[in-house]
Formats: sequence, C-alpha cells, structure tokens
Amino acid sequence: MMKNVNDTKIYLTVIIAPLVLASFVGGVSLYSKFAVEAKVKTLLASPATVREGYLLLREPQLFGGYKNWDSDGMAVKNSLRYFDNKLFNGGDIAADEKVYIELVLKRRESGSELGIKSAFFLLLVSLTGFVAYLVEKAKNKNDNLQGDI
Amino acid sequence: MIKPLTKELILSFALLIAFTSCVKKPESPVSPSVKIDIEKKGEDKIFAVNFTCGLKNENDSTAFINVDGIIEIKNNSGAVVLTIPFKTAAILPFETGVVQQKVELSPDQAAPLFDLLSVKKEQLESGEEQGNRIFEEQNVAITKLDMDRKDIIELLRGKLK
Repeated sequence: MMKNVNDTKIYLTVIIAPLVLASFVGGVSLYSKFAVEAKVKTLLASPATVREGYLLLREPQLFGGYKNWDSDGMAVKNSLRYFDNKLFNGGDIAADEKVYIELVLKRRESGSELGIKSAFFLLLVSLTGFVAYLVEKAKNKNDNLQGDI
Repeated sequence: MIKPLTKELILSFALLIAFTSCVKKPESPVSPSVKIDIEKKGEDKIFAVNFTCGLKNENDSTAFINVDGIIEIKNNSGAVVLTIPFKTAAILPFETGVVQQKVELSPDQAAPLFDLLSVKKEQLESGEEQGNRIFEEQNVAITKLDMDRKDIIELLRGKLK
C-alpha cells in the first residue's frame, strides 16, 4: 500500500522558508535604504562630515559587495582605492571628488534595491504556497464530505 | 526533525563565515624587475641591485600593515642567487604595494645573478649594458611574509581622530 504523504508539512515548508528568507533579506535591505543610505546622504551634504559619510559607505551592503568583478564594480574599486589612500594619508575629500563617492553610494543603493526585490519575490513564493495550501485544504474538506454522503 | 536541521543550519552558517572572512595573502610578486648599477665603495667596486616589484592586496576590507618579508630569486636549477628582505608600511585594499629594495653585491656574489639574467659584467662596466631586467615568474618567490591585518574602516577611523 502506498504511504500517505503528509502534504501539510510540505506546504508549511514552502510557506515558512521563503518567509524567513524574505524577512532577513528585506530587513537588511530596508535598514540599508532608510537608515544607512539616508544617514550617508546627510553626512555627504556637509564638507565637514564627508569623510564620516565615506567611512559609513566603506562597509558594503549585503547585495552590493565591492569584490564583484562587474563593470560598475571596477569604477567603485578605483574610487575605494583612491579614497582609502587619501584618508590613510590624512587628506581631505574635495567637493569635486564627491561625485566618485556617489558612485559607491549608488552601488549600495543598487544592492538595497536588489535585496528589496528579492524579498518581494520570496514573499510571492510564500503567498503562492499559502494559497495552494488553502485550496488543498478546501479540496480535502469537500472530498471528505462527499465520502461521508 | 528540527534537531538535524539546526545542525545543518549552524554548519552552513559557520562555513559561510569561514569562507567570507578568509583573508587572501599576496601569493607572488607582480612584475619583478631589477636595475643593476656599478658603484664604488672605497677601493672596491660593487654592484647595486635595485629590485622592484608589486604586492597585491586583493581583499576588499583588510589592510596589510607592517609588512615584513623576504623574496628569493632562484636560478633555473632552484639555487638561490639573490635574497631580498623588504619592509612596507601599508598595503591598502585593492592596492598594489610597491617594494623597492637595494641590495649591494660583490662581483663574486653577483656572478650567479648575472648568469641568470644573461648580463655581461664587462658590458655593464663599459656602459653598453643598462642592467635593466625583468624576472621570469618561476624564478621569483616570496619565502617569508609577516604582516598585521587590520580592518580598513577601523584603520581609517583611527586616522580621522
């Protein structure tokens, strides 16, 4: 006799696993967007705090790593190399150099955007699993009722 | 059912941390070259070997500071013909630190190096030979490399104070 598979556990896994991942990915990305990036923009706006803003940007976003070898990554790497060296030697960041820091900020913003979109996709997967679970439950209920009749 | 899953999650997380926190050390010198000059030291004639190479820091967030190492030049039979001790204050992330070191050699000490680089002592003395050479990758090796690793943010924050 064929073993009866417990579908509920499969549905719950499909619902919960993407939901947990979405919470983590979404949480990190939303924090980056609304807390870190907002603070960086404020710091970069004043010449007195540009260096602090750069240091905040120096920590990469989860999805916007500085190691990656894409075309944008090269420009970011060159900017990091330049500003690291400048700050290490006690230099200041000139107003006309801010455009290169903005490249690094753009990298972080892209990372956050990717994270938010990924979280949204994972939520959709979880929601699909939830709907499928409800449909399956309703179907089972009907089958049981018909069996009783 | 949950217990084995917890173990797997912890293992995956530990592996992820171990993998991402690995610091890559420079493995080989970049573009190693020499410029050999003749200098007078008292009555004696010596050969000043000016060695130059780069050391790449391929890490995105780790700076190497107080770099102290030894580079050895070996001939094609594996015998050491030149030992270059060097020190570099700092190599920041994505940067290629430049090693420039002068080593003084007596004519006897310089002979194996000249053989490797096909440099004629007489031509060097007469000025026909400029003494510039690039080493083949297989002839150069880092035999000692000590350094302190520091997080770049921590390092730069210290400079801002």
